[in-house]
Amino acid sequence: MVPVKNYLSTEELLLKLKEQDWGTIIKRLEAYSIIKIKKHSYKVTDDTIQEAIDIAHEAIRLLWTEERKWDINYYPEVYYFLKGVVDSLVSNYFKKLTKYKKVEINENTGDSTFDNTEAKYDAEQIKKIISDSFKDDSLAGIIFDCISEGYKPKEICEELEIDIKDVYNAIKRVTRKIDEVKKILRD
Amino acid sequence: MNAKNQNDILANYYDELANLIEHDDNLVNELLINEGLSIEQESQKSKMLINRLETQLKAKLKREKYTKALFVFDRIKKRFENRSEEFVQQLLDKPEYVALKPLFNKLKKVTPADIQSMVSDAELLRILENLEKESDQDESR
Repeated sequence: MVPVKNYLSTEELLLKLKEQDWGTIIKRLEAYSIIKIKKHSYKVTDDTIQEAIDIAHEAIRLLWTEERKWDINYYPEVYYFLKGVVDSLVSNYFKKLTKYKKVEINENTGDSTFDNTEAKYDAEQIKKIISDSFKDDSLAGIIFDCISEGYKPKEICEELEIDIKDVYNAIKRVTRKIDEVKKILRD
Repeated sequence: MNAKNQNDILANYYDELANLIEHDDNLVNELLINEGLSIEQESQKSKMLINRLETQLKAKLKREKYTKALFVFDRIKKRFENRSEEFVQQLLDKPEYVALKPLFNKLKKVTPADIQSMVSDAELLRILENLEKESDQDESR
């Protein structure tokens, strides 16, 4: 059953927002926004990271200014509401970017690099590119597979009998390697 | 994983990572640091952002209360204009409304500052609404 909508009054909203642990929520939302941008972008630069941070902050601003109304029945936790707002902002960001690219492509080359990227390689080729990128770092390769299969860092460290710190460090290396893989796929 | 293209393979990794950060703040910190962000600086920026937004929301709330109080006050004032002075005085002499008396004593020249002072006191606004209800009941008798 779809829950009945429950938008808070301004007074209730203020009280509810003051209860939140914003230090944790903002960091989590910034990380979420970065992941979403990386997921959809083949070119990740300092600019796009800043764009991701700006999107996370914009989502928070839209909540506090009531430009996006928080339905507390549908999203009892504010973080999940904000995630939805980030999803929508990221989607708009890429729509604008794609539109801009298409204009640029039509005028100059007549070909699309942005839209055709995924058609350049089949699944086996991509698997090979990913696998090659991890050949000098087997732990990172294992971590990539584990995360893709839905394992949590704690489960990975127990399974592999390694320190949790090593798992976090490997995740950081995976993220960097994936950025490199995307560059190969794009170029 | 039955990946059909690079989007499926990479998107799946990012989706799982997005799920993981919901329950792992250490991972959140590691990811932010990995992107060259300073946790301390980001934390300071976050505090400033929330302080600014909280101030703006409080100001908005105050404006809303002010508008509401002014609206209620105007309605009561209009009703009182059609009542005898004796009736108004009797109503305002009731202990629960005595705090409002100064405001109605200068019925013809209430300033925005007078209303604003009411708004700062949430209890006073509630009493004003009760007064309106009571004057409604009396009128219907």
